Amino acid sequence: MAAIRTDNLTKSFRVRQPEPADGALLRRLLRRAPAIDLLAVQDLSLQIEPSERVAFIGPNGAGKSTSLKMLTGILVPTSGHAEVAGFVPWRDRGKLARHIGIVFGQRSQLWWQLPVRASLDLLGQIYDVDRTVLRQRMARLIDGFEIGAFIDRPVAQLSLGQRLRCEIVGALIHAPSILLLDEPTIGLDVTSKALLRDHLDGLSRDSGTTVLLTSHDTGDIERICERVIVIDHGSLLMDLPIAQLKRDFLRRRTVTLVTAQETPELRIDGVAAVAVEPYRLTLSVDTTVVPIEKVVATALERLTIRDLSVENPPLEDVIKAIYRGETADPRASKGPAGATQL
Amino acid sequence: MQLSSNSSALRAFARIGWRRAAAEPLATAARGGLNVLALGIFWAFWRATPLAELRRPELTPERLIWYLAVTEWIVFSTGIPYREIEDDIRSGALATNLTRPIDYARACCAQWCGGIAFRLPIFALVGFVAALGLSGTVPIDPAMLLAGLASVLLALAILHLCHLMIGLATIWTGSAAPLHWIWQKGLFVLGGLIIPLSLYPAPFRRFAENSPFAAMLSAPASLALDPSPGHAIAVLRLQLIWLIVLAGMAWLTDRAAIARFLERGT
Amino acid sequence: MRYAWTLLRMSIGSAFARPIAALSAMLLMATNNFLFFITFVIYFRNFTSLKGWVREDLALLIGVCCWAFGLAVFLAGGFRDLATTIGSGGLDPYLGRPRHPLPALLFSQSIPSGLGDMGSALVFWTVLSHRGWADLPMLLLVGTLGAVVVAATATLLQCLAFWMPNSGLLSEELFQMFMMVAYYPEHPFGFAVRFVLLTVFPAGFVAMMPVEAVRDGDPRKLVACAMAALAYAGLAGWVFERGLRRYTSGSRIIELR
Repeated sequence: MAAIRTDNLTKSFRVRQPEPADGALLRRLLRRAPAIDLLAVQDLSLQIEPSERVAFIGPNGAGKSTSLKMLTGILVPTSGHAEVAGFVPWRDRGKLARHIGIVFGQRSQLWWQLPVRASLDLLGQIYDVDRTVLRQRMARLIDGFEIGAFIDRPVAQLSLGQRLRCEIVGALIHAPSILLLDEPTIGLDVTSKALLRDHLDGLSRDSGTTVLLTSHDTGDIERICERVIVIDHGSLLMDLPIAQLKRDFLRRRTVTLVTAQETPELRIDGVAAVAVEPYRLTLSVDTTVVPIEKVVATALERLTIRDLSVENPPLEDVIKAIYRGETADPRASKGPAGATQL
Repeated sequence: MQLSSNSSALRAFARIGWRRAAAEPLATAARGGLNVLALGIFWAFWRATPLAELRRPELTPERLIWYLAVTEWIVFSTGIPYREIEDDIRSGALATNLTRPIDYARACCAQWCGGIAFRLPIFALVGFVAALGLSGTVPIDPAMLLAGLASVLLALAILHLCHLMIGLATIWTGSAAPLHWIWQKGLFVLGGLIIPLSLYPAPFRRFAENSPFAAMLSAPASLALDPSPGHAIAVLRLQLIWLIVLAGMAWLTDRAAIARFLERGT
Repeated sequence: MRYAWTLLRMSIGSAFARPIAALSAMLLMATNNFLFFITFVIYFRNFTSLKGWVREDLALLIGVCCWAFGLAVFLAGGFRDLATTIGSGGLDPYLGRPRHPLPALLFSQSIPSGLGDMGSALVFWTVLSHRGWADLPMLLLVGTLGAVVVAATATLLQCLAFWMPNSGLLSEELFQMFMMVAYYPEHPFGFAVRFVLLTVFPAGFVAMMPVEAVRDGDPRKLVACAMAALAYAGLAGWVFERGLRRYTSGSRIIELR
């Protein structure tokens, strides 16, 4: 049985377009704005097997959060079908709740003024976890996610990274078979992100938890997930393994050099100059032709470097590239192990 | 939908409510001060009022201040719990709560019970000491204390059911505050916060006495004016009827509100 | 002045961005005030007067309170969130601007229900207290002076947040106390209480003193109201400045006490 399965899941919202705020007050009072149907998710069909770690990505407004809400049962679809852990989410929300754990990066599920331990205790009671099992599980999770140092501090006093680790522990307190994470690393610094990714990666490998993650950070996707589902304008664009995404769409990196030389220059095969400014050179590197390390080493050799940065392409560019069909080796096979290109 | 009927979870929510109420000692003290101030103002008010014009011996400043002490005890022990639901809806925290295997309304009510358990004895002490200090008398029949307490608890239950419905109304209105203002003034006027309903003009009095607002304030407080067993039984009967009616209304409101939220996502 | 006017225009514009919601708030607040007055209507059906005051005098007092409170929240509604802004380090953006932060903080929010209060004040004055239109300029003046006292007192109470973390709820309770005292007639009180109400806890300057100024036609009481408004506004500004010096910006970490 699939952990998560959707068939032509669709959600549209009926909204009214408001009059501009600087429009005449009387017009705004007397005229009712026309209603339109906003299609947030359209015919979404996917299948995720138990223990899979899947990234669910797309630009802002693509329909990710709406899809996630339908899968957790807190939004009823307009049409279509879904099953999560064998339950229809919006019909069996209570039963489903015991099988899923949810982390919203931008919203806390812990009790703000209470110590973390009290929140976890309460969650254990809400999910009817046996007291002995709860104690053992909490000890294991506290150790695994390294939150012991601040377990007795109020949630309000924690940094964002600390809070997010506690949120994940809270979501795992009832040992769910499926973990849903909505932007879990948003706002975190580089070190905190790395720490959280390591924990999530380890969790899934050790306990076989199915992970569905939404994120704008390609680092999250690369580190935690093995498969990526791309959604845009409410529709499924692509469903393919990470290795293939990297190969086909993340092959280019941007390297920015700040130099002592006023007109810096660097000629290497596979490297193109994107922008040349006084004391600054921006390069686009095709990592399938030349590895990043070699570019950096060559730059250090030939130029006097004051500052250097290496960036992945923004996710929107990756999506645009997918839209334009810019793949090195498009495949026709379907299914979770292969690539589905629509 | 199978939800947790785990009483330990509800008890845990009640403990949370108690802790939250206890976490604001200065605000509680200020509210206690407000209670005493109100009693002081109305002590002066009733003493300046020519009560003799009424020719009703039970309506003395002493009994009227005890009447007010009971209504204020109920009002101050309640606070404004609808705002917690309003905040949950507006912040999106309701969605988080709905993903848990425990009924949201029941969890809220459990938390409120915890808050009441903290505030009730404190405001009883503050209000009754102030009323005793101002009036120099205690018009309460000790034999009726249990009935009085039961009546106050019923009043609090009815009040909180109203707050539950007002808070859930945020799903339709976006802000429950205006609804609360009107409901609160209705409570103060039809519930006889300051002036007992027996002083109201006849048709208006009958309407007020049969409204749920009377069950929340005037009915329990009237035991300070008429502590007879017959009157106590009538008061408790009225409150039980309204408790059942409003519980039904709250259940329907909860179902409709959650269904709308699940449909629209906001 | 131009800066203050710009701030007001923006906040009032925002308040009416959803005109139906704003109108509902106004109507409901006016209804709220009239329901409150019913208590006194009932009272005066049973009793002829309260130490010389009749129903019309109460209508006058409540009208002045409504105008004072309504004008304060409509123009300077930002005082309601001041403690939260201070406590959460939200003053930082204001301190980075080349203008004093207090006007921006106060005029940043306009609450439309204030217009409902002000509208009901006009009804209280002209219909329920049977005052003539000739009294209106004086009533508007004393009501406006009362609004200054309301906004200043609220600001003072909210400034507690500079010295006490998590004092938002306490400030709100104290403000409710202040307004409650203002809405009820204070003339039955003894000298000591009236003294407190005209100094430490200036509820007496919101309605009682202004109403006496109008009722008695005593110019000295009008001058007293004006001086009180200036004094409390100045005090609020001074306390805010002192608080700013103590202010430390930054994280949302709440201090353990």
